[in-house]
Amino acid sequence: MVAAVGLVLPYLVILSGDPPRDPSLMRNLSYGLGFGALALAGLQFALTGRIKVLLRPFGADIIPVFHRFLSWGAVALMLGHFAILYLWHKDDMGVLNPLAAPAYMTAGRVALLCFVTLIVSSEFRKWLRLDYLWWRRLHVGLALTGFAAAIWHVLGAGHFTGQDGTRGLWLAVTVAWAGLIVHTRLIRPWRQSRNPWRVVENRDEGDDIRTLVLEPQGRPLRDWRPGQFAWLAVGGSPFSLREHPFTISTAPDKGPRISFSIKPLGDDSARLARTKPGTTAWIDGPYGVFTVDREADADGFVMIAGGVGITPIMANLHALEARRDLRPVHLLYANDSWDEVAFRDELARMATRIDLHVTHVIQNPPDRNWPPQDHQVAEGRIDADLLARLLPAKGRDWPHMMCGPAPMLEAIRPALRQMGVPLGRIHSEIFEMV
Amino acid sequence: MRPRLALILALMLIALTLACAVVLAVTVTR
Repeated sequence: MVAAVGLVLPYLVILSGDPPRDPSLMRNLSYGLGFGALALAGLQFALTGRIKVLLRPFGADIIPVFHRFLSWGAVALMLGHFAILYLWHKDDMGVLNPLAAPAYMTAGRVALLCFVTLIVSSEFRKWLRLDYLWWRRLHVGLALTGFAAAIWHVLGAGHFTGQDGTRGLWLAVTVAWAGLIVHTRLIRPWRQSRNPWRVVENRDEGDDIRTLVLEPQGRPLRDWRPGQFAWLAVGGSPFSLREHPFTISTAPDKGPRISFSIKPLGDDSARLARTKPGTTAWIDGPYGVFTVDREADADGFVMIAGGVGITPIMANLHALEARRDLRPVHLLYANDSWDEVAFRDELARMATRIDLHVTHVIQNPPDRNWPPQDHQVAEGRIDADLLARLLPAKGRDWPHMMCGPAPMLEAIRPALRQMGVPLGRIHSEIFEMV
Repeated sequence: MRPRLALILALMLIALTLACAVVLAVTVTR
């Protein structure tokens, strides 16, 4: 709803004035597409600015998906704007040479180039072997440059924005967009910099997982729910973009120290896993809705985890344990090999304290000591057969919380639907977007 | 919310933008 208002706003501004008439429908359509592309691009800053009020109804993992689709739309409209003029009114476009062309026309071309590069660098980050941190810096840099260039292009061209009445309103819309950017990139990191945390412990959890324990040096984190995550920046500065989302693994009533469990999977997380106690850190959160607290009236839970997707599930289980919540929980936990199963002993311990039933689903079981005596295991991948076999028939109405790689979740979802699990009872959190 | 719903919502917003562009173009064409 808010998004729709944001998109329509520029058009309302234009039509509120007395827009100049032009006999060419195609030219006007091209301008219309240009404004639409700009509105869609502006909306991206609201989506990615972590503004809690706007994002509350959605799962945090869906925002990047939404961001991606809307970005394609924005670039498609931009290309449409360009193509229509190119095909029907090539004279309007002037010369390509930036020395001879008016600056605002060059700005338009720069904007188009920035946004196309944004999409290509995001869709093909792995193929281009772009490091996550550098990709993020490039992404923010290109987005800001492209957007500024696009604003320059619109104001410079002056179509529909040049009349006295409209100009003020148009500037207000522009200032609102700029405000979103200032909030995300300056105000929020500045607030974080005023509220540092300190790493007090870096603990080995086995299976390569490290747990960082942080103590607030100022305000503690308040009101987080089990399974929520926060953006963590260690060392450096909160302005640096060198931050990653991690699940808060401490149960909410066990503050003010909070901990994050980190499995070094390359890029920057290996560096985080080596953090020394005493290092300053910054936290932005909490975010996310992957929590048992959303389902206070459920009779039980089905949880499905793939690999490192276990972390938000662990946080939820810790909360159930801390509250002595004895509702049944059936956990299917998929890993490629038995050796890489994280929190194996921790899960076994919890199963003695709460009504937790864990089944480890191992794709490539070892040749020896298999199956293990003291754990329930299954071989292969989580598919429809396995779900039907392992999940209790009485649990179809229970919340089904899944977290893992997107292909795994996309394969499981239809199987659950077929078993009769209502759509509203399937909650998922996807790990890894770009 | 599932990814397909996100796609549908995104397509609706893009369609809305497109519709606005067409309305604008028709309105200001003399």
